[in-house]
Amino acid sequence: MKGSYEFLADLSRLKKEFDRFDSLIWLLNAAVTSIAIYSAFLLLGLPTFTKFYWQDFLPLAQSPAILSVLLGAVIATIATKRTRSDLFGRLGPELSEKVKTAYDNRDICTLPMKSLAVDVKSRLREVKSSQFLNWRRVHVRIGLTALLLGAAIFIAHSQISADISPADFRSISDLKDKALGLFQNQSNPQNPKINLSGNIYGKPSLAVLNETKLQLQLYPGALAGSMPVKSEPQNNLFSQSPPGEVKAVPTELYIESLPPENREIIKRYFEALAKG
Amino acid sequence: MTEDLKSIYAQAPDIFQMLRREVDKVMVGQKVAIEQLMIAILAGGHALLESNPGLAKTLLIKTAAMSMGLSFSRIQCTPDLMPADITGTTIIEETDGNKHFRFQPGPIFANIVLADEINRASPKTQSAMLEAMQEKQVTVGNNTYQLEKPFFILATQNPIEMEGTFPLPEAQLDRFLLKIFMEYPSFEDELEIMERYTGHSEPVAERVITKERIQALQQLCRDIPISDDLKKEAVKLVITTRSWDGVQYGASPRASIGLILTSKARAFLLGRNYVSAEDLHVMSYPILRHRIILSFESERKGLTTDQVITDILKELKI
Repeated sequence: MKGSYEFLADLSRLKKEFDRFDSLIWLLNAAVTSIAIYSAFLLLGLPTFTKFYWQDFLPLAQSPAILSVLLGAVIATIATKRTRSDLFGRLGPELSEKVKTAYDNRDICTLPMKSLAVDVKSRLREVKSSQFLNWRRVHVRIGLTALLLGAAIFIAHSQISADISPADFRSISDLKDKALGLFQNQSNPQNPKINLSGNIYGKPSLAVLNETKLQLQLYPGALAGSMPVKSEPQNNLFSQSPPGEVKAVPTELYIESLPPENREIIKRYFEALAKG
Repeated sequence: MTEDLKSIYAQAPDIFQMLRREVDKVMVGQKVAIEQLMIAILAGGHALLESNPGLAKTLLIKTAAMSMGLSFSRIQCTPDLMPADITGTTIIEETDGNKHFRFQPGPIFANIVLADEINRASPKTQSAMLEAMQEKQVTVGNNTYQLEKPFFILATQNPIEMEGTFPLPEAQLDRFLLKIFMEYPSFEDELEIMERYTGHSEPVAERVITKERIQALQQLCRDIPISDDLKKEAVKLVITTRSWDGVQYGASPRASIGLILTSKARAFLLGRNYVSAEDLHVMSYPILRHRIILSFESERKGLTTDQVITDILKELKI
């Protein structure tokens, strides 16, 4: 702080204490938020999932922890900025006005300003950091950090997160399919009971055997897996039918193991196609 | 002079207290008007006083002049009052058989001038007086005469009996630093007035301060520090009056200057060495009320400029 008035030294001392306090609040806010986010990740089983799939690449394996810390820092910065009040505002209405005025006019040397500077100096000397720093905020945050830390440790060592496997994340994409099916139902009001979804096989899942990822795709209802095999593209996907005579022709691509609930729908679809 | 200023600054609270005591000896009540009159004098501006007849406007200004040891003159404005009646005129004087021109100063050559019912004077006379207010000098013929410092004009207006008056144009109203209202006294105050002024002798104020000290106090008043936030708020307040709903014309930058100066003067008068938000709030009324011109719609609704100022202050949280 420039200027030659003596009150500036006292103001500087208070400002340093105030900044330190603000940094402490930020740190505690970040800790609370990070631990809370990481606890949520633990509940979802995300750390187990990432550690398992990306065990060879540490940043990805630890991505939930890194993401928690980053999000915590961002949220703490926003929260601290929102709730932050300046030093002058913490000194009480009268002293705040005096100090602000004296600080703004620190380069002016007049009789009233000199008298104000002396006044402010004597008042600032009496101000203790405990008077304007709300230590209750710190204590609440420390308590919350300890509580959340305990909760995180409990979740990590309990069976809560173990009940959730990576396959459970499929429910999110299934939800999308359900929503799509609902939309299709609405667009076909003549036959509302038929549930036509975009994927009649359901979603394929990745097979894991003895902690080894297999390039094996399991289709629901198929009872067997298939390995992705590189092969030449087939040209005879469709059978030729004579012109003018439209009829459904069975092909070798027809899979008999279709889910029973969809068989009738598919049959009706092809019959309708043959008639049309 | 620095040493003098130092001692005057140290004695300022006592000086103001003595001044108040002297004025209170003569005046009963009217605390706000007395305070604003002293603020106008400290800030070096002129004031427009609006009140009904018989509320001791002349007594107030006379008492202030006496207690401050300043010369006082009164101009009763009428439609036939000429500029020369105010500024003075050149007369032919004969000394030892030789004739020469001599300037005879008019009543404007005083420290405190009371222009009673200024709106009854013709626009030409009003202009002459307002020019003297602004320039603090008078030009008669080819000669310019400086008015003695401190120079303060208190013009009065009667809110009733508007017939045969020449209302002051907005541009001229802007030259008055403050517009002060005087209200009727309370029951107790009126009883006290009756007691004081129905005896054998009437109270008289005594001089407690010199002209030089008044000038020094005016100088010190300008040095009272104000925070940057309050300066910004003052400007914001004045700018807001220009775009406020129901206001036809808002205040000019002269209002911003006046607001800061009078806030400093109020702080000084109350013994503070800094300007507070309360000073700004209190002074915004006498500073802005004659500078805001309401729209026809607002006037029809019965809205007053003071109500508009209250609304703006609420909006800006000052």
